[in-house]
Amino acid sequence: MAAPLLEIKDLVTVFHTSDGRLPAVDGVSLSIERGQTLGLVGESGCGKSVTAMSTLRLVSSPGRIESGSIMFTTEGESIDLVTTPEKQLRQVRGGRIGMIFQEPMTSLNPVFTIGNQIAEAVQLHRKVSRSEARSRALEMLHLVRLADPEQRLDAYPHQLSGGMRQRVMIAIALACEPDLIIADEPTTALDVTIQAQILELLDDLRSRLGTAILLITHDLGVVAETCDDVAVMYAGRIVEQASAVELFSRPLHPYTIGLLQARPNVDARDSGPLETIPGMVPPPQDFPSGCRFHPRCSHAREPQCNVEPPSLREVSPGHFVRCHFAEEINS
Amino acid sequence: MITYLLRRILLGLVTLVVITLMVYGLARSMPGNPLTVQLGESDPSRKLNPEDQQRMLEIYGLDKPWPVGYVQWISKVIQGDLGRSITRKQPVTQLIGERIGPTVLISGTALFLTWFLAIPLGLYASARGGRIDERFTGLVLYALYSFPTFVAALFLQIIFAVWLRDTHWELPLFGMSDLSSDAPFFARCRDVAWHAILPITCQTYVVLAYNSRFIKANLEEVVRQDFIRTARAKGAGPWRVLVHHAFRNTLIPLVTLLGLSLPALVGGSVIIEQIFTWPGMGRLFFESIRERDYPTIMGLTLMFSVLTLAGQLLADLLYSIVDPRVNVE
Ligand SMILES: Nc1ncnc2c1ncn2[C@@H]1O[C@H](COP(=O)(O)OP(=O)(O)O)[C@@H](O)[C@H]1O
Ligand SMILES: [Mg+2]
Repeated sequence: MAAPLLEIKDLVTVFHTSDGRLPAVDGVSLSIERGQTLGLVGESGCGKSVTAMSTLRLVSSPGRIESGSIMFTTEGESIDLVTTPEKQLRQVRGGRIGMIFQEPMTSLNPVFTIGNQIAEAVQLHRKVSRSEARSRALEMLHLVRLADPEQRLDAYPHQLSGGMRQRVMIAIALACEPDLIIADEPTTALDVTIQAQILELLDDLRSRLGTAILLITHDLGVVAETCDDVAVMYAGRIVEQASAVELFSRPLHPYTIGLLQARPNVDARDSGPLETIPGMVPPPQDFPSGCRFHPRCSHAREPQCNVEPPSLREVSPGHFVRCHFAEEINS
Repeated sequence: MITYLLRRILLGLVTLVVITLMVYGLARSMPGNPLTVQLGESDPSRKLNPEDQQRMLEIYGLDKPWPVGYVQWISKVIQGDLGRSITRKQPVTQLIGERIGPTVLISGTALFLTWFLAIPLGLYASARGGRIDERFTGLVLYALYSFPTFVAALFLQIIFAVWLRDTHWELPLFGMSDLSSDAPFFARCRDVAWHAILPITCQTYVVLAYNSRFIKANLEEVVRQDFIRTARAKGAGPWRVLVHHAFRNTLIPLVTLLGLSLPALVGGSVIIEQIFTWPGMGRLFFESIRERDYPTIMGLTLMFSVLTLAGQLLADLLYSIVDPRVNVE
C-alpha cells in the first residue's frame, strides 16, 4: 500500500514557560490519505491548533516540537516535515500544503490588496511574471466564487466582509494547487449561513481539485457533513478515531458521546435542554493522572481511571479508542 | 481632498495666530527691553538717559502695551514684512536667509541620518531579537537615548578637540569655518564639513537611538499579528516576512514619528548650535531672546511654527498613502 499523504506519528509539541514544560500536543498520530477529509475535533484548548501549526513548523517560541515525525509524501517522495531543512519546508508551506485560519478578520495583511496577497502566494512558489500571478489571482477569486472578482482584486481586506475574507484565505491556500489544506476552524468566526457556504465551497473544491483536507473544528455537525474520517482530541491526545460513518453510528469514548449529546439536534426540537460535559479541558499544566478525561467522566472508576493512562486500542477494524471501559459502557 | 486641505490650512493659520500671540506676549513680558539689555550688559556708564530711551522705544513701537505691538507686527506679516532686527539693524528675512543654510546643513543631515540609519538598525534589532549581539546594541542604544546632548557634546569636544589635538583625529572645537571667504571653494567645503561632524553627531544620536528603538518595538508588535502567520504559512522567508509584511505595517506609526521629528530637530538645534557656536537659526533664536530682539524672535517663531504645522500636515497626508484604511476625506 502506498504511503498516506500525511502521516503524523507520536507528535509531541511542548511550550517551555515559567510553569515548566507544557506538552500541549502529547503523542498525537494522524494520517490523511490523498483527496480525503480528516476531521480533528475537540473542545477549545485541547491542542488542535498546536497540532496544525506543528505540521508546518509554525509554532513560535516558546513552543517546540520535541519528538515525533510528520511524513509528507508527494510524487513518491517522502520528507519528514519535523527535520527537513527550512528552505525545503518553505516550498511545502503554501506550495504543497495550504493553510486557512480561524480569524478571517486579522489573517490578511491590512496594507496590501487581496489580489496582491494571492499573487504573492503564487510568486513565492512559481516562476511567473507579475501579470501572470495577477491573472492567477483573478482565476482563484472566480474559483472561490467571490462576487465581482475583477473589482475585488484591487480591494483591501477591510473592504470585505468576514465571509469574503475567508474566501480570499481559501484562494491563497489553493493558489498553488496544494495536495493538502489545513483548515483550522475556518468557519468558527462566521455567521451560521456563511459557515455553511464556506464548508460547501471547501467540499466542492476538494472533490473538483482532489485536495485532501485536515478540517479542524470544535463542531461535530461540521464534521458529519464533510469528513471521511474523524479524530477526536482531548488534552493533547487523540481519544477516538474512526471513519465518520462509524463514529457517528457507534461512538465509544465517553468524551465523544458527550460531544455528540452537546450538539443541538435540529430534528428533535423538543428534546429538552442540551446536555453539556461538565467542567473544562484542563491546560497542560493541570493534566490529570491516569485517563486525562476521568475528572469529567461519569463512567470513571477508581482505581483504574485515575491511575492508569489508557492506550489507544483498535476495538474494531479502523476504530480506535482510548478508554479502559469502552466496550462495557457501550454494551 | 481640496476641501480637506483648505480646512487644514485654515486651522493651521488659526494655530499660527495663537502660537505667535503667546510667544509675543511672553517675549514682551520678559524683564528688560532691547535697549536696556544690550547696553546695560556691556557698559553701565553708557546707559541711555531716560528721555533718549523713551524716544527710541517710540521709534521701535515699544512704548505701547504688547497687544498693540502684536497687532502691528501681525498686520505687517500679512503684507509679507517680518520687520527689522532691533539689535542687528538688518531685515529679519535677510537675517534668517543667512542662517538657514548652516542650520539645514546640520539639522537636515541629522534628520537624514537618523532615518537612514534607524530603519536598518530597527530591522536588525528585531530580526536578531534576544540574541547576544542584539542585546548589546539594544543596551548601547538605550544608554545613548538616556544621555543628554549637552553632556555628550562636552565629552566629544574634550575627546576630539582636546585629547586628540594635533593628531589625525582632531576635530574643531566650535564655529563653522576657520578659513577666510577668499579660500578656494573646495577647501572651504572641506573645512565646513570638518566643523560639522561633531554638531551633526550630537544632533543625530539621541533621535537615532529613539527611532530605532521605536521601530523595533513596533515591529515586535506587528510580528505577533495573525497576518504574519499567514505570510509564513504561504512560504515567505524570514526576511520577506520582516521587511515586506511587518515593516510595511510599521510605516503607519513611523509617519507620526516623522511628523514629530521636525519640531524635535528645531528644539535640538537651539542647544547644539549654541554649544558649537554654529551660525544657524537655533543660535540666532537663542541670541535674539537674550537680546530681547522681538522682531527676530517673532520671525523665527513664525518660521518654526510653520515648519511644525507643515510636518504634521505632511504626516496626515502620508497616512492615507501608507494605510489604505485611512481616508482623508
Ligand atoms: N504560546 C503558547 N504558550 C503556552 N501555551 C500555549 C501556547 N499556545 C497554546 N498553548 C497551550 O496549548 C493548549 C492547546 O492550545 P490550542 O492548540 O490553541 O487549542 P485548540 O484546540 O483550541 O486549538 C492550550 O491549553 C494552551 O494553553
Ligand atoms: Mg484553535
